[in-house]
Amino acid sequence: MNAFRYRFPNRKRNCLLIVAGLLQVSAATNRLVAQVEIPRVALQTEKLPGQSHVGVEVMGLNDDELELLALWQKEQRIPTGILELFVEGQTSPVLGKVLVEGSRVILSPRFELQPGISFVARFHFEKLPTNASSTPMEFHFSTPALSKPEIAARLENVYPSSDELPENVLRMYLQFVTPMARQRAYEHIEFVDANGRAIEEAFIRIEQELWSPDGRRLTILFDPGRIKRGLVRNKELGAPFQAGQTITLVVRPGWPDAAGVFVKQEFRKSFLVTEPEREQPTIKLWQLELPPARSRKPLFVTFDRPFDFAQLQHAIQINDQFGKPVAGTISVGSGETSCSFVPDEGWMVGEFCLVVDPNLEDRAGNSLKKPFEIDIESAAGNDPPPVTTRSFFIQ
Amino acid sequence: MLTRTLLATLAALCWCNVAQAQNHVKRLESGKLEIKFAGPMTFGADGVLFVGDPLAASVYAIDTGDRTSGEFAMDFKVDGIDGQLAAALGTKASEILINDMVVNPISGTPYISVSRGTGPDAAAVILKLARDGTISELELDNIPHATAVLPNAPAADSVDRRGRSQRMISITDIALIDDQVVVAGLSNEEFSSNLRAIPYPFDRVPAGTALEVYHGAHGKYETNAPVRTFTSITLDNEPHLVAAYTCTPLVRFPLSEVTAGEKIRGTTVAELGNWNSPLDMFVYEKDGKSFILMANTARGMMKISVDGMESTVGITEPVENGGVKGQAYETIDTLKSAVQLDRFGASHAIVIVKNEDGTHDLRVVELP
Repeated sequence: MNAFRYRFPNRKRNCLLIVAGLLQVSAATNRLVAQVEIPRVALQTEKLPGQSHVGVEVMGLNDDELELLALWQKEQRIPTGILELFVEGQTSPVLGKVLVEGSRVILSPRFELQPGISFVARFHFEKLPTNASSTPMEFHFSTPALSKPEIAARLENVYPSSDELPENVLRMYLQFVTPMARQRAYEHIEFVDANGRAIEEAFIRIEQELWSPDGRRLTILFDPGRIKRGLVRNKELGAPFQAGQTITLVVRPGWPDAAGVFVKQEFRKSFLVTEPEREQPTIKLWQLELPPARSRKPLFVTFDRPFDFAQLQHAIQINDQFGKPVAGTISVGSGETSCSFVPDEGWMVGEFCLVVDPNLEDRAGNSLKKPFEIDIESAAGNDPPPVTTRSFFIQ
Repeated sequence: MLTRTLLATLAALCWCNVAQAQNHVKRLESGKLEIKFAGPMTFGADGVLFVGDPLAASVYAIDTGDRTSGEFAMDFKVDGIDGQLAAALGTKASEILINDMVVNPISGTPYISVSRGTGPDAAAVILKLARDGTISELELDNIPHATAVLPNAPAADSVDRRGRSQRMISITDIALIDDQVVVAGLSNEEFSSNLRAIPYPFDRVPAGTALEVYHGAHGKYETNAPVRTFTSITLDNEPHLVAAYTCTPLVRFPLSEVTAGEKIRGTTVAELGNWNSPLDMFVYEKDGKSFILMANTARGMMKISVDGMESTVGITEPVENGGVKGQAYETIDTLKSAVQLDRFGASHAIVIVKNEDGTHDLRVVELP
């Protein structure tokens, strides 16, 4: 129960007001007297039409006060700060608008009041000319905490999904079950060597962090300065991982999701580091396993190497003989070394074309268009355009 | 971020630029502006605020109407700025993200882009800080504005199996250089330079140019990498863009080449040592000399000399033994913990520093 004490000189009485009960105790007799409508501040029980979020309200003002406030509202000159709301311990008032609605004065906050924290509302009687009080009326309250979400925050998958990584791996994806809180990632992620020692500066810290729009997938970008040969960081520190080494990704618990639920379990995944991947990929080396016509069996495509998990979600499509995309579903195979395509409708007899985005990259950033590192001595700058289509016939 | 007031300064130097800016303001249409994520910002001339929105893959030009000359109060100070900003939004410090801070070069008012919430559904807010520390919102319900959708934004058909595109270009820096809004971005999927120039006003051309910039050749290999932060500077009477990369080098490009929209090779003018990733930078003058102030993730704040930058032939060989090469710089220890900063008048910067207990303070410091 919330209680507060205030002075109300023009009504010549001091009151102890119990908000919920509207009970008034006479200072002189200490006896319970009849219920009287007297001013009080409270958390709104429901928002009014047009209000975005529940705020606080003052009730029990007398007719003169209400008339004056209504006039001020009409003339758009309600005194600044007549009704204020603060997060306990802070001096900046909560942004919002003061409205006079019937017999109530309402502070409608700009945003929903955060669940589970303490606030104090102040109604400044001294800004009403009918009152001589210099003491604002205060109301302390806490918003109810949110009930526990049904889905616990958890790291669901890591890509590349294989147990091996090339020495010059460029990025990694952490896929979470729920949308995660931003700007907390780097305090929870670490790579350690076989002896459990932290591998320093393995990846770059980007203050914005690289999240997917749904907030569930984080991209870890390994330092390109260390991966690229010839750059200062590579010369000084070498690649963060060396072929033959076993490294472990450690994601520590305590990472909050967007709803404030913390990841409870530590996550570990070990990788054997293999030789760097520097060759440009080509789809000429991909193998196609064709489905029979008049079926909805999948078209299987086996790649020449693992590719970037995220890009594979949208880098491949199948066109019919007229160049029109065939509607269907692409699924990425294990280790990102293959994919399958299931058409929405059965395969027709005829020619089809596998079309691949030339920007599709392997795990080390080599794309169909260009290798991650361009060797100036061998690159004359007039390489033929990459092959990005493969025709096949379904019968 | 840091870059920005420079642009306003450039514009202010030239009457025709001011006239042009006023013309731009007139071309903004009033209406409700819905921002998904208020990210990096910069001020143009005449109170126009540019805001990068990575979730909407857009840049907005907003007429703040804030054109009254103000005094830059050097005693400006707000302890626990994160808690105060959060309180104004009805929440606690851990439930907001401070994305950027810029100062209106005319009025001296700091504008702070904030996420109210930490997840993908967080509300975007731009807050203003009055001289007495009062926080107010830049209200967007009916404000003159224009929107430019970034070129090479994720295509509608680039979706995953659930039908949602999960590709996103995080905007790392934005600046108005002459009549181009230049935006640096970092993709969460592919690795590319993602530097774009969008002509302003936005109604002239619907989409800008994606720039492919190389920071020259290092040893045997030519290097293309995302630009993290950049600023403009006049070298040898010609406007240049100075960019800092994800892998650290500082590189200059003549602006004439940047706007040409072709593959650009820059000149590496400094290698700034290891353990470092650049965050933000701006140019300033002190005692008749020009410097670049650059914030970094790990190496603190660098004051980099611009002396002779126009004639640097470029670093093409790796720097051995952890040394640095090119433009001289010093590290400013007093600004080590700055997480946001912008110029505040001619001789000062306004900074948000992170304290050891995780809270943040806002204060004004003299430029080093």
